[in-house]
Amino acid sequence: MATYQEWNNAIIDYAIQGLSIGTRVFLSIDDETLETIGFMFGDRPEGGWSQDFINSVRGLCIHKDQVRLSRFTNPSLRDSKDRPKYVGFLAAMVLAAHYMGDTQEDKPVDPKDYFTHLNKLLGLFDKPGRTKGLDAGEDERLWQDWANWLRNQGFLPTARSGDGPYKYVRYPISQALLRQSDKNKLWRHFTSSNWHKNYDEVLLMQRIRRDAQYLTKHLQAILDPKGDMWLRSYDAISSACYEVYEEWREAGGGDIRSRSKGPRIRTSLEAKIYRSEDFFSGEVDYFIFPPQPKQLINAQLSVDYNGDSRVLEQERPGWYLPLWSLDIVQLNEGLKLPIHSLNSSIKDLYLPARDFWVLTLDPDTPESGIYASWDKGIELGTEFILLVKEQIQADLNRLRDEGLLEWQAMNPVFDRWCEYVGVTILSESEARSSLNLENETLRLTLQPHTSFSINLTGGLRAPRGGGWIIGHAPQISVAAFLPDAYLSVFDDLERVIFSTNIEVGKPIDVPFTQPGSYRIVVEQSGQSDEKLIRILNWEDISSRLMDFGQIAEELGVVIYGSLVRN
Amino acid sequence: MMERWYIAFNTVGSPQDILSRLVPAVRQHKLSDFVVRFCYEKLTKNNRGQFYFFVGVVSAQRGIVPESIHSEFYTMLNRLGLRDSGMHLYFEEIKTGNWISNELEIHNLRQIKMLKPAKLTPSDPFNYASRPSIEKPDISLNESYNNLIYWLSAYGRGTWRQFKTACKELGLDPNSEYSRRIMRRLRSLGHVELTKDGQNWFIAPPTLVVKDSNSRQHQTFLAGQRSRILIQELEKVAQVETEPQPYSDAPDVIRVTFTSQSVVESFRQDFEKDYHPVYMAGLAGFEIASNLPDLEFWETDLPSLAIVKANYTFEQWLSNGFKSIELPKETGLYRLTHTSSRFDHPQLTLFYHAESDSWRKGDWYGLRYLMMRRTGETCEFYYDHNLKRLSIAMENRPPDIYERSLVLASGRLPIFRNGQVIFGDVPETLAHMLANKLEAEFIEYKGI
Repeated sequence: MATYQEWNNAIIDYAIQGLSIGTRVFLSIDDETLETIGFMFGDRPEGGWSQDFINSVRGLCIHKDQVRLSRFTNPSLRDSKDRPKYVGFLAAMVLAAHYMGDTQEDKPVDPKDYFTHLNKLLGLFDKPGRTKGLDAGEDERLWQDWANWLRNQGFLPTARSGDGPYKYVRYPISQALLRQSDKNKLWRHFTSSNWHKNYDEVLLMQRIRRDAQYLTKHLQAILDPKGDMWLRSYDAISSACYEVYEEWREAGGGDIRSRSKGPRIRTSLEAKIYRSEDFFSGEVDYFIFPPQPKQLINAQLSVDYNGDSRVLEQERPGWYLPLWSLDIVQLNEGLKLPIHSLNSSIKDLYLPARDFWVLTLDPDTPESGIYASWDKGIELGTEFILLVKEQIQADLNRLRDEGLLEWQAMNPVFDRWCEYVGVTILSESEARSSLNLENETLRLTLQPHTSFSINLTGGLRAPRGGGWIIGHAPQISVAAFLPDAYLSVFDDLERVIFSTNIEVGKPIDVPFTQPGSYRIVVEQSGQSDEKLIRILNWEDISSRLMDFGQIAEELGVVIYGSLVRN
Repeated sequence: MMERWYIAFNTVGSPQDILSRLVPAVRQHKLSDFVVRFCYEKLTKNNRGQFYFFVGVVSAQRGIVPESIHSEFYTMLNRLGLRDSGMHLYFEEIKTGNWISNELEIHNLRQIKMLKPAKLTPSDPFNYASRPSIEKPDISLNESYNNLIYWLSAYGRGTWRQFKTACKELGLDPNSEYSRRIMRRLRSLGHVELTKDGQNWFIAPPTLVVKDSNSRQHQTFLAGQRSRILIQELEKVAQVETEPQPYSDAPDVIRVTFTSQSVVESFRQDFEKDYHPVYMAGLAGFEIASNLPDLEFWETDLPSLAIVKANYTFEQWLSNGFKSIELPKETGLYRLTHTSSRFDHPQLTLFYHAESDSWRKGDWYGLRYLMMRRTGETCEFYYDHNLKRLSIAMENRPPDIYERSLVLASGRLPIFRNGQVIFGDVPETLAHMLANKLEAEFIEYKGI
């Protein structure tokens, strides 16, 4: 059994681990997530980890049949390491929102019932109405402090209040992304529509969006491309849907989704590809590029290939270092490699056979010129590379002829594979849907999920996506189909420090005079999007820990800097 | 499912005139979701006057104008004097039919407006042939150089492109001309290493290098990875002095003087416990020079490139400059430019060994030095015994890795005077050892 404090810290870690700076954070806690988090504590208690979590919250927060927020608000909301002490309680509020969504099945979430579910969860069974001890708005300062803490760590908070009498109840409801009924419906749809098991996240989301009419009302609402939720939370929605898809795929695509009594078990890793270009000859190589899911942050994995064995080493949170280079057969037919792991259930690493791959610039350091299939989808206003089989070329020519796509160069790379370099999307998604293409997957993949985007260029980036160095902030530009947009910049305290009309396609400098986290909001035609920019002092960056022995091996040098290796 | 199709108008006059009236009319009539692009045949002398003008539209089916905008659309056409005579085509049919005899001009509505990313062209960091040295110190850049090494230390590793971008952003190389020289200086100082193709860099281990000195105190300087915290911690246990490089064109030399060897060791242990290891390099200049091969072995160890001669044009280094030649026949230094425009091929500077018909890749000074020795020119090293200075003619600068051993004798970059590059604080044995290995003539000046 874990204590409240252990749960509190484990939930914070789970919420942010593996995320790049600037990512939106959801506290989307449900039974399955709790089982996954609890797995790290050791042996599963009899009642399951979800119940263990609930017991820990009841144990600390409930006294004499009422909530005592003072248990973690006094004398401070933060602990000695400045971590929030109340996240366990907020997670319990979100869990109640999940339970409420589950009982209401396909109906829209009704905030009126919220306290009934929260009371039940907190063990206050006979208490209808607002939870005793939790006065209206009292929890808001916890949500606001959570938002401040996330911003200080470089993330974007997502919890929002509502309007009218249920203003505060909207905070936990806004965090419950997918309910059990949504997941069940998605699962059934994958099975009944006979979906393939080789979709990547981008393609999966395009297919789900296309079939939104067959899904739950809640899903339809969050998938609405004009909706606030979609614009601001696309990544989180996409990850949550892809998690259901992976679960479905792992289960072999059965009819009924059984509710998990344990942590999410993952037995395979789907590899991506990483591009490398020979400087002298211009020849291009592709490498197997394994992603690192959140659940595997602490796992030790090694992979076998052609008699060689390699330990998977983290390149950055979310990704392992690239492995071996791919040949034409592997690119055509895919690849499956055995994985050995003593502390996870992963059994294999596989590379799907695809007709094309989309490669985008390293999101953390685009100026490195490194392209890989990071699977973030295509962002308007950025260039990407398309690695395609020969038969896709007719479709690409069609798209170019119709002024929907353009590229700088096309080069053959393997037998019957070509690389299109410097590809940009020129038109809105609707325009592409008016063309008949042979490859439907291509059409879906090349659809950006927004009609405008905020692009950050230049400046001096801190390592590992940590932000920008003061005095070297990026320029901000907007890529869009309409000529102008409105830009606002908010500081840590949500004060507007800069606002202006911005001409689309033109970069502007914003006076970031102080270190801190800044929220950039761009509005156009009633829609808005936001990004977070973190400005750091030089003192905030520290030396990277390096394995110099291994690097010297990699470089093949005897003299390394001022040292001579023995 | 929507379709994209085109209405053809057989018309006369100027297509630009039609376009200038159509574009605002589409906006005015709020038809931007229906009318998406226009195309017309490029005018030539032969087809001047009458031509086809195509209006690209989107609807559920070819030929069907949606009810909701039907009236608005035809009102607009009437106003503009355009008549839909029922010629409804797909783009493929326009391109392949007899509608046009010439290239199409295309105008798209509602196309993306975006900041065009700067084009990244490949470059060779080892090739600093034609860039002049900066000989006047610019003190204002000192801080930027210090920040550069903090930044490199924080990243640990990265690409050559990334390095160039950082130099530009820090104001060290506004026109992307000096990054190669900056990189070379950092390598000479033992701060950074490059991969053999030059396209990736790695920070070197954080190291205390011992300076040859007669003092009883333990004098060292820092090389490789550095951070503010490392310097702050050193300040607590040792005397730390900052000294700018001769031309302020590299990070400062951080000189650290310990009272004894035991203080050094205890500092290293404590710092490793809290942060990371700090290495000891001893007399790095000597250590490196002792481990370097002679020139012949260095040559054979250089990466060789397979060059298809038909793919390149050639220039040979003759009398201090590259001159165009047909094909390489003699041993020497050459500049190769790829004839294909399919890739962004970098220009290559290579050493050609005629007897073995082989091409070697290396740093610019190294290849030039090799060329001079292999074409029979003598290279002279002048050593001033009193001042412990080694002077080498600018055009005889040795390969980078040999020069590193001279720089690391003092932690300071060389100075330039009267066509000579002068390294300070070089022990005679070190100067002698290098001259031998590099087949140079060692000329000693012992003063009066």
